[in-house]
Amino acid sequence: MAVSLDRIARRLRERVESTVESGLFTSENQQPFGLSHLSPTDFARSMKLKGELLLEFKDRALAEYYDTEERENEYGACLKITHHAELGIELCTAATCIEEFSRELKLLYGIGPSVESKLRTLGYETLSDLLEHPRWGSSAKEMIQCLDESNAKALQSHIHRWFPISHPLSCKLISLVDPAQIKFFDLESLGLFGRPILLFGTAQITESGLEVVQYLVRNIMEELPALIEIAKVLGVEPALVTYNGRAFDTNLLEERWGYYGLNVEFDPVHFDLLHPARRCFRDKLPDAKLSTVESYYGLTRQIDLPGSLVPDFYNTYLETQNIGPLIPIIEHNKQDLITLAVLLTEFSR
Amino acid sequence: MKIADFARQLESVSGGAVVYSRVIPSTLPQYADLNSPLPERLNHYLLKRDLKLYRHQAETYDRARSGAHIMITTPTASGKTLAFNLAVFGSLEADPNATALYLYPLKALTQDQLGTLERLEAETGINVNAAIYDGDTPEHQRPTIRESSRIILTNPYALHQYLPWHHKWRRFFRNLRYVVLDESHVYRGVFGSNISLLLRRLRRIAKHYGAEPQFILSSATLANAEEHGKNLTGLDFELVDRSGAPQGERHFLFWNSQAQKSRSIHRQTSDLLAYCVNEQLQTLCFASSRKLAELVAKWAQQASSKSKIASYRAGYSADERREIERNFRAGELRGLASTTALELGIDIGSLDAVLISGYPGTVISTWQMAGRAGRGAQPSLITLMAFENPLDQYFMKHPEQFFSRPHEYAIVDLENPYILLGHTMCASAELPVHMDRDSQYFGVKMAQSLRSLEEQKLVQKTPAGYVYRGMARPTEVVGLDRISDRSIQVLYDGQVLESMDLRRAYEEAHPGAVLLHRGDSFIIKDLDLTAGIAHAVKEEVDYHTSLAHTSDVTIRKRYYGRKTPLGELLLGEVRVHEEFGGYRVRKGDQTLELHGLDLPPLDFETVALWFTLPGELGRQILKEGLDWAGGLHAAEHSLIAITPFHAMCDRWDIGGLSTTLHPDTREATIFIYDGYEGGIGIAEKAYELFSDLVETTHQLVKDCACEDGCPSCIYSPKCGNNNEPLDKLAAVKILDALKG
Repeated sequence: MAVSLDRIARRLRERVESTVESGLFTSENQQPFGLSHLSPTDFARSMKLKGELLLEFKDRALAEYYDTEERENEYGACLKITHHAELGIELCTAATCIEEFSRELKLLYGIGPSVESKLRTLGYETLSDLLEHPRWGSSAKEMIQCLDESNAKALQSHIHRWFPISHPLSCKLISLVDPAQIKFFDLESLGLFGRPILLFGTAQITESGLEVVQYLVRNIMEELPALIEIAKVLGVEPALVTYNGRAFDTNLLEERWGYYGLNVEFDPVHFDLLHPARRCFRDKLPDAKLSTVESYYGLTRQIDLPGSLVPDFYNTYLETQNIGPLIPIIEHNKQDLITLAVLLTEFSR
Repeated sequence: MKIADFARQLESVSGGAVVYSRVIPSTLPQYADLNSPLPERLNHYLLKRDLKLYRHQAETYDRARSGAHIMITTPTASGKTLAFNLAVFGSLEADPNATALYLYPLKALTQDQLGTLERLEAETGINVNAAIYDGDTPEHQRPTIRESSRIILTNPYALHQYLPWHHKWRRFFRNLRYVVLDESHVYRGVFGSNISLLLRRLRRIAKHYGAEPQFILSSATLANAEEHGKNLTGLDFELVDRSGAPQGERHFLFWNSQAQKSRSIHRQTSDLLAYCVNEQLQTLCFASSRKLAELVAKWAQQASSKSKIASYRAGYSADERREIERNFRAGELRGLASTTALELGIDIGSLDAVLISGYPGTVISTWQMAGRAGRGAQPSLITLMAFENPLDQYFMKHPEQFFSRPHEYAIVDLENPYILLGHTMCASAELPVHMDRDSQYFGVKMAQSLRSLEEQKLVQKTPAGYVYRGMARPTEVVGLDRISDRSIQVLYDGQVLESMDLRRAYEEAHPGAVLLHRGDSFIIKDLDLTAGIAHAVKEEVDYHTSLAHTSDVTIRKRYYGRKTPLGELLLGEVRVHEEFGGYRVRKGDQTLELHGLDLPPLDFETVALWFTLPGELGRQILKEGLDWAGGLHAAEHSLIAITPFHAMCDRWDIGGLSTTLHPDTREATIFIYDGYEGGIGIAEKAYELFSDLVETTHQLVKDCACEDGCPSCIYSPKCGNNNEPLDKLAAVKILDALKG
């Protein structure tokens, strides 16, 4: 009698599922300030929502609700969804940024708080004042050159070397970037890593606000074509604006490119707003989840889907082919991108 | 004193305990020249160090340079490490981008090897940036190691977790020239099967980046070393097994603890350890458990106040272990009582004497332990001390048997569907799995495996291949062995004294337990299973504790069954249930008190085969003056001993139970079950091949030349009841009847 592969596979699935569940309900556990987990009440509410959506959107198509376009490339197709959001996005000016930078002497190797205050008493206020200084002259010159060239990437790495990653100056560097290069970026996926991405969200600043473009994977086999599309949209050296993108979104994106053996050149300058948000809201908010931060700015979501339930909703869509459960994923992702733009305005001021 | 004189003296004072002695003659070094010259810098290194290559080292280098995969099985301390390091450094010098991966079964071994590599690197000036990359590697160092190290050392558990991140290791994989697998004999049974598939995943990823690394494996002597290499990696190996290293004369004594009835084997062990140390012999003693390592060291230290004696085992912190290793190497420590933790090649230098307290269960292990004795061409002493159990006693009665016994087979099953399916799933999360390209790695049944996984929505077929789409990380769900994740930390004074897995915590950290740690005794005050914490207080006591437990098997579900000539054979799910009623307080060898204990029972569910035997057969056997229970027990042992050969596993992967009356079957029953939660396919396979299994087992026991049982037939090295009762004749009758 042959050993039943099906029985073993079923057992594997049970184990896979129980592993997920144990990761889902850990709300009682102390989480570090930042991202936290789902509570059983939220879970129940979301399941009810899913049921309602399945009824409401039965036999409907996404094209009825969104501006959609079929995108095709050599690897297959995926669905492009475009939204426009009216929004006042105001970034600080390049001049302000440069001004603030040139006053930050501690950016130079070897200058700490005490050296800085000593230099100030001697009349050295800005980087330019230091140009003739025997010890700091050459590194001041180098820094000024980066500022002249608007080399945001080099300047950012200087900041990150000497200051916490959440330092306010870091966000202001966005003003040195060509606005066309600014890409807000957020992914929805089946898991933290090693699993497919199902929605690629990106947004760009326009005259009236924000153009949000999403690439939807309607079937796992569309992930590869969508990965190609997003590579084209982002380009090689975007100024990426994310929320926890350093740890998650870019990591997963590169992992999936690697998974399919795609060799994508990608060297972004990255503005991860989670870090300044943590710094800013440490004493004001219970956590730094994007939805919590939103409420601080009076933004509310019509339907909110907790991020950890995205895989569940998506799998229901795959099984039923009913677009209902996709709607909150698309909306959630869009809203995240809009909030990112709001936050960037706040943090770069 | 000379070792030969010492051995004679020991024999004369042993009171008859030394029942056998044999001198293994010394061997002279055999050197050889290389066919292909060494690169200048390596040559210079050998000259400066005044090193001449032994035959097996030259052979390894030459064959590796010609592109072959090598399996080296020369003894401990024969210079295996230098042999493969020369080959690797040679390649890494010739190609400045080339990389190598070293895999060790224990973290402690990677630490050790890192030191060796760094010295070689410094002395040859060949820049390899050797680094360890495992769970202990700080996050901020990881990118640098991935991007710049050319030799990375890690362990299989860590590799299993890192393979899905291969895109971050692009540079390393693209240039991967060598994979070195040291101590590869430990990868056997279910663990070995998992490793063989892990290595196939590694090869598939390397291939993806255009690399086909050469493998160099080292191993203890095995009955099937070449085959083992092939099973583990899927590649053909050339064997290097003739050592050219000199070996001093070795005096091998067999010590039967039964000659001194008044003193326990453990006391005798510590007496002997102290005696050797007092006679200026630096001695390593292998004890059979963590507690015994502590006790033997403590007692020996009391008897030998002038020299330092310590204990060594898992559970100490890495720093503590490093310190002990260092002191032993330096000769400050004169005696060391250790668990099997020192069986593998951690560098503690070479010793004058080795004591093995209790037969370790395999020929492989015994020789590995014995290999610790002997400094170069110096003579050394090895003493195998026998416990009271029949297995140990057998060797005392038939010592020649020990020396003529073949080394065990390392068995790896490449077709176990549980393991195949698990790793195919892991692979599908690393790179899409292609039906034709990848069947070379995941077997002829890969297509069926993928379909079953697809059915369960764990993978999906796409034009790019099968893509993983399950809800959890596969490497979190698929483990490489049984080691449970649940660990208990024992706290003393707010600090972690040690951490141990749950089963061990039951044994050693229950409330009231005496926990020995580096010679100090601690009493456990409480054990909080939910929090995973036990609290200990330091208290010098002259007693120790031992846990009392009983286990039974209950039938949960019958999958299917068939008739045997005697009754029924079934396959199904069982629950193995262990109860912990209390613990004994013991002083020396005497039980002083019994205490109750309130610990929840431990259960695990697994797959078993079982068969029933009619009461009529029992009555017949009893009528002939034989032992019915002993016959069942002996039949169970011999069936378990043979199962690995039919079901491709290791003896330690399976468990068994025999009883004259089982409550679920209401008959005499023998169970053979998988030692893995949820089952791992061994009982299933044994069920399919049951008649072959019974046939071979019957033949083995019947034809065994021994009178009433021996390790080759009915004695089990892992019996929970000390191999009692056993009745060989009754077992032959049972097996004969079962065969029909």
